[in-house]
Amino acid sequence: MSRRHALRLLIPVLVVSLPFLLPNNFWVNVLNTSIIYMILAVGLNIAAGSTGLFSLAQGAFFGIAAYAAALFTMRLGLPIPVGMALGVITATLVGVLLAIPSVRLRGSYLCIATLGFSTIVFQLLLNLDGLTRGPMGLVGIPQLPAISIAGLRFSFINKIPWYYILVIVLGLLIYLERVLANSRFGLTLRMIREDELAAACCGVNTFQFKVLAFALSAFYAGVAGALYGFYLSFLTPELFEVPESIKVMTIIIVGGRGNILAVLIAALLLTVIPESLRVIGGGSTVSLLLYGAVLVAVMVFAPEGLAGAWERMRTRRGASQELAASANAGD
Amino acid sequence: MGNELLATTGLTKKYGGLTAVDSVDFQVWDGEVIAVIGPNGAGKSTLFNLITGVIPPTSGQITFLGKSLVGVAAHTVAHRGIARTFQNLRLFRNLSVLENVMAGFHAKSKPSLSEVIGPSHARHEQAWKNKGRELLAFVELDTSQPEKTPARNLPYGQQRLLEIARALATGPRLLLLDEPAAGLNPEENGKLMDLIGRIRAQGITVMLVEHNVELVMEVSERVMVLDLGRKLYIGTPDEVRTNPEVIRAYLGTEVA
Repeated sequence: MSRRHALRLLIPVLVVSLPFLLPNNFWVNVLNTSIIYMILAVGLNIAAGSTGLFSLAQGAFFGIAAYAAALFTMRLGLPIPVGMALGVITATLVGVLLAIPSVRLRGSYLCIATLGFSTIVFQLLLNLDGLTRGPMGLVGIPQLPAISIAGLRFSFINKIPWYYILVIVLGLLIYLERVLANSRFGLTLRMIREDELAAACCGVNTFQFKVLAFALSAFYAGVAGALYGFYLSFLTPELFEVPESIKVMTIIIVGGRGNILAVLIAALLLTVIPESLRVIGGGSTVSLLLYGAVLVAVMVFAPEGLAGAWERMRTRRGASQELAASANAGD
Repeated sequence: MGNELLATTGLTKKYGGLTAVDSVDFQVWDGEVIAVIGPNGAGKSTLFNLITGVIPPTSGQITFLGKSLVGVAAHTVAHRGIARTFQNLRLFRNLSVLENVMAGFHAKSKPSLSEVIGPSHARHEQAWKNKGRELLAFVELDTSQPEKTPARNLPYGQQRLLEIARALATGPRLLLLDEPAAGLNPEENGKLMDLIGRIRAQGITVMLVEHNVELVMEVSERVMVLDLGRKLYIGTPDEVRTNPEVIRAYLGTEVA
């Protein structure tokens, strides 16, 4: 029990001090990127983990929001927060529009349909160069204005203040996800995942709730995207290519769907490992090879993801302890 | 005899050349227990699927409380007051026992936004959980940790009870039980008969498909016999038992 209390104290301290424990700005950037992916994955978990809708459109919604937020701000001269909000709204609405025809599809069929959508979005970002500047990328996205707290001035050219913004947003979004998951709304989504016909016979309008789950996932991607452009201060279509959607799905599967803590750890690992490999050397080919090998290993040895592996380890340990206890009692 | 709760006229379901349900006319009276019997392939489960909106009829009418059910989606049928169980159990296997019961509450009240993320959401959740526990007690499903035990871990007989509890949670006027006694031992069978009696005492009309003729004759006031999709006979258990046509088609040695 006291160990748990110590952990509860240690984690917030670690979260607050983390950017100062890192050697340089490069690693702060890696950390910030992993938080962006955590937001994407926690969001996708609502559609995929809770509802069983395996969407490969999360990267596309991410891109739509990033471009929309930046363009609303730059082209219309709107204040940054308004541009961000419009970016989130755009991604969510597109999510609803995509969901209406595609949530009727199940399993791998939905994967393929959303994969097609991601391809379309990438091609549009690349080719609508009047709007997005295409492959040249969107540069000169304005900085967030510096803020002053207790006489100290924090500029957002620095990556460390961004870390705190991202952590706070992530925290709020995880809190929202938890409240939803533990509510009757979350139960309704899990009913659909388990047995759609039985859910319908319990009175669930399954179509309506699937669209809602899909839109919520798009909303999370929207928040991540709206922040991302202002964080990087530039955007290129390659940031939102199809492999991005696959990466978010990979995070969920490696984490073990449904388990938020495992999903967070998977997001951290799958962002930090490739970056570390790149630093250690060998170039991007070797790093990608190793990355692939890690994925194969996880799927072979822990098909239910990190959460499943942890659960299995715990029950095995519990069982052997029980066995030992009963053996002692037998003496 | 009460008022008419459910009625079908000329209800027909064809699959290509096969007629699974063939112009069936019948009524269900409010408050009764009515059984549907017949050999395998007689169209009993198809009849249930038609009534609950799982599949659309090829032709014919279904009315419930005076309103047509043809073309009405399964979830709306549940909202109108018809609940069901399934022949091959369709529990939410990986959800907890309590969650399976609470699943049924969706038909009575959809989770509202204020209930889900409002300041008193925890209190709402607790209230629903308590209602779920009451229903588990009503069907006499005793399990130590209904909030933690996944439904798939229950013994088979208890899974049948859980499915009935989930159906009751939707607050039905009419409860359709598809082979509720299948796979039950004699003791569980006796408990099931008691339970059907208690459900009826609550004013819920029960319609069941069952192969266990003894149970059917014991609990139901009327029995409809289906054969090859057609209504062969409908009447009291005694009438059905002595009807020569029924004996020839179905009962045969079991009653003789």
